[in-house]
Amino acid sequence: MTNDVVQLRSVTRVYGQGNVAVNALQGISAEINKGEFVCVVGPSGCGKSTMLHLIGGLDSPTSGTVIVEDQDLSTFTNNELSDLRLRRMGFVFQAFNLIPVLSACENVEFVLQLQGIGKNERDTRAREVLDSVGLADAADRRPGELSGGQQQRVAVARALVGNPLLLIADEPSANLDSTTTRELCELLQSINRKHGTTILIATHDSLVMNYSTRTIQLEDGKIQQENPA
Amino acid sequence: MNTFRLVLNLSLRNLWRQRRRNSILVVAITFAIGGVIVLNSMIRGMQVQMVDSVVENLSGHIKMHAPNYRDDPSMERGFVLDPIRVDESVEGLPVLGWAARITIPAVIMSERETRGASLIGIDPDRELISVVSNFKLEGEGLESTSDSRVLVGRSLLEELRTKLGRRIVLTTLDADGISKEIGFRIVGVYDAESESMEKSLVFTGRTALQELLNSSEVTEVSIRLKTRYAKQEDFDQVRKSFPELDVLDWQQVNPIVAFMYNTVNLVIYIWLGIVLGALVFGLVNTLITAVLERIHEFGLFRAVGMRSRIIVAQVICESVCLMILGIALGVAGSFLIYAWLYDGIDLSAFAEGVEMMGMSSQMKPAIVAHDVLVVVAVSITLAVVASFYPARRAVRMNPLDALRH
Ligand SMILES: Nc1ncnc2c1ncn2[C@@H]1O[C@H](COP(=O)(O)OP(=O)(O)OP(=O)(O)O)[C@@H](O)[C@H]1O
Ligand SMILES: [Mg+2]
Repeated sequence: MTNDVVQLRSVTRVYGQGNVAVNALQGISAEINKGEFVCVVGPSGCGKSTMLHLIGGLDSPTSGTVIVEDQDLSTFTNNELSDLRLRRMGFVFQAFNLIPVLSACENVEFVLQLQGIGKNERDTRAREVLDSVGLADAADRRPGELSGGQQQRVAVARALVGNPLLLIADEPSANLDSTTTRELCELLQSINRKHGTTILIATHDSLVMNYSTRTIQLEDGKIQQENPA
Repeated sequence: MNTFRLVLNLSLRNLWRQRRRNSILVVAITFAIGGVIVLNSMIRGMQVQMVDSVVENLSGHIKMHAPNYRDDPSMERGFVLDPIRVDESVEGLPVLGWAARITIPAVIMSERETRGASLIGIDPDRELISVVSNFKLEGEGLESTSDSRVLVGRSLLEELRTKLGRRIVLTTLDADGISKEIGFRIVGVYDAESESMEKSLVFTGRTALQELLNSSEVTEVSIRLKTRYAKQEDFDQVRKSFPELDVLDWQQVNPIVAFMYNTVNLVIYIWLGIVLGALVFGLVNTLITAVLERIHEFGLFRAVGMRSRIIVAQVICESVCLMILGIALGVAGSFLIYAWLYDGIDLSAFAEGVEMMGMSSQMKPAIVAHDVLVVVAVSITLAVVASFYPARRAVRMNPLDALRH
């Protein structure tokens, strides 16, 4: 047993074949410890999203090993990967994070529903979490009736509601102004501190980096340097 | 349970989101299902009428002949009637009554014309079980089994160019196979629903006919039950009592009508197949559209940990919900139409063709619960089957590609 939530060992990811092959990751090794707030930074196309997807079991490496909570993801079936994401991870994507036919509250709640949690507890927890992201009033609105920032906060609420071990966010602030970004980061920081939730964010945004405990800098699919904050 | 609620909730909301497109499909399903059930009920009504009229037209539910009589109907192939044995053989059955008859071919001559027909010796008191008791008569009916006058159908009377009260001569074979010419007075002229019956059946008293033909036998016993169809046990019971006779049901007695009856059964299923087949195409099409416009959404669901199985369940659920809604409306509509047509449709415009099949010119629909259940069960099954391919499309792409879509 280690203190690592995630371990990457010589991970490569090649998209396509032959002449058109893209080496998105070229042998990355890294660890992310429990309770860290890590930012993955680097220019566009350097492989940030790819790295996050591999850790989330949404993609598999061309070679190398991805280990989450001491378990090699390559040994997981699709259903086991789904369950891992459902119960241990929270995801926030850059865009299109919500289900249009569900209200904000239901968008948060369905994760708990999939986990098999009863109606009353679900409702209480979903509203609590929405309250903590400052959206108590918007709970019954549909995504189409929310601003981009509000939608992103609902997505964060959804990612957090299951009390995940690891929260993965891929450029969560891309569509947000600086005030909203700061609010979002403060929220993430407080969760990180209060619950010890490990946070992994891919970002270009220096504002976001300021909140991290460590940054991993990628360039052309390689780790350039790791800076403790 | 939790998951099922979620799936149902998502399905219903997504159906509602595309309510225009989906309601068009529901209307199509409604018409298809409603149409199938209405047509079905008409065909069933037709069948019921076929059976009723065949049973009433002298077949009865159970008919007994001497073996070989049907190959060569004649007095030589009769049997001695033992009324007590017949009564015993039907004990415990829901019997309306039974009648013993002599049915033999005869050549009929009037002063002017000659025709072939069947000469039937009946006991008028026992013919309450058959159409004979319902004839519209001009003149009189037969008085008793020993009445040696004849009832002739209106059409035959016209063909023979003779009249009520005149005499006709019938030539037939007696019990010894010897040709006999017998003169009869026409006591009554009957009108039947069926013209072919009027042309081919001539009735007289049974004992009178036995005397004329030097016989003490009959050629058939016809048993009529109170139920619409005779059960297999009913036959078995009668067969056991009369092992020496052929004990037949209406289908064996009327093979042509039976053939039509059974063909119609097939038609029902072919029709069901065609309509539901067309429906499946519409359904698959709508589902694929619904899936493609939500690939994104399915990707998100899977990225946050929904198993593919649940995505598949969503698509199946949508398909089944659409179908159930269509079925409900279709069944309700068909029952309304059924109620509206309950008193029958006048088919007299096509009376001749209709009559051939042994039906009257009024057609009454009949809804058979079993048919409705089959239609419902088959359509719901098809809804599930139709959703397989679209559901596969929904989970074929990996979640990331779906999200990027
Ligand atoms: N599905 C794919 N097929 C082919 N190439 C891909 C695919 N996904 C990513 N790539 C390539 O892999 C490289 C890394 O992509 P990735 O999305 O990880 O970059 P990123 O750091 O997230 O960039 P950005 O900051 O723009 O989001 C890029 O060159 C990209 O073109
Ligand atoms: Mg990216």
